[in-house]
Amino acid sequence: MKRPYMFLLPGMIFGFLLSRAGFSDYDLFMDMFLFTNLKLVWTMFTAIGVAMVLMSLIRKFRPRSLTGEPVRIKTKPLHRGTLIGGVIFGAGWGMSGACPGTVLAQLGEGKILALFTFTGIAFGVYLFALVYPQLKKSGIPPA
Amino acid sequence: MNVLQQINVYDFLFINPWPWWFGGSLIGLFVPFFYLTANLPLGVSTGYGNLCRIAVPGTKLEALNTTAYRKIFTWRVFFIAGIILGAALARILSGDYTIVTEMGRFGATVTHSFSLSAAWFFSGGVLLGFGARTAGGCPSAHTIHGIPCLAPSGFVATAGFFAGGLFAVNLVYRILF
Repeated sequence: MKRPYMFLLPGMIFGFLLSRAGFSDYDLFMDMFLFTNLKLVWTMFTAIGVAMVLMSLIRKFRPRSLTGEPVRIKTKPLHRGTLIGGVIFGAGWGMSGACPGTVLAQLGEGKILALFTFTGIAFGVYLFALVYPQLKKSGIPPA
Repeated sequence: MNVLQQINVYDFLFINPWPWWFGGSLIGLFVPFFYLTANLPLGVSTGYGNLCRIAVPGTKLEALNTTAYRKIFTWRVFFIAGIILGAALARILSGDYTIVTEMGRFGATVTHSFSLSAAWFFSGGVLLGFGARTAGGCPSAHTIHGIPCLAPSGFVATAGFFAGGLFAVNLVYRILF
């Protein structure tokens, strides 16, 4: 996939999967955090398990990607912000019953209130950029 | 009989909620699929920075001028648009596409006012955006991608996500309302 617009297709696949698997369902997220219905936990565990097996095979056999290069696994660095940001994110997750990926699925499904979550996320990202110089000075996250 | 079976497959794929093992397996497959086709780690929240760049084109803010944002219309913008379209397609194929102003049981439990709901979800979104950028990613990058790739950051961030979520939801539904 050389051109950016081609990513509409994997995006659509991912959005379709999120929606059909139940990740765009506000009630299922509330049930998960209240321990009243753990469907999403099992879904998440299954996803992690399947991906873990296949990623370990990729790490072992180093196949080529369709881009022509060998697959290069890129993970995010661990720093103080990982936990602090994670907890802040979690509070927002609990409030909105969505995350940056699933809110897009909610939008596609025609849930009007998702528009506010979506706008809020973009605003929060901008807010982060505004205070980033101060955060950097205190080491969350490091430059 | 053949027709009946076809109807059942259609119902399973497009109408009834997917069982956890089916949805989980397909989402798990997406992570290696994305590496094998595009050689990219799954991730969504960075793309919101691209959206900020579209909304505020000339911004000089350092965090919105990293290498990820050297170009504005990168794959991430189209990936985001694709998620919206894919979820719409899921509802259309189910034969029941409806615009809803409710968000699950939120309206029935917490508030009946639309503007209060809007403010609530906007605030939640702000925490999501700020938290995701501070943590370096959202559950797509950290939980669905990071943990299977055995990234320490994936485990730590996921612990944070769940700690925050457990706190917020239990505060709202068990204590406040």
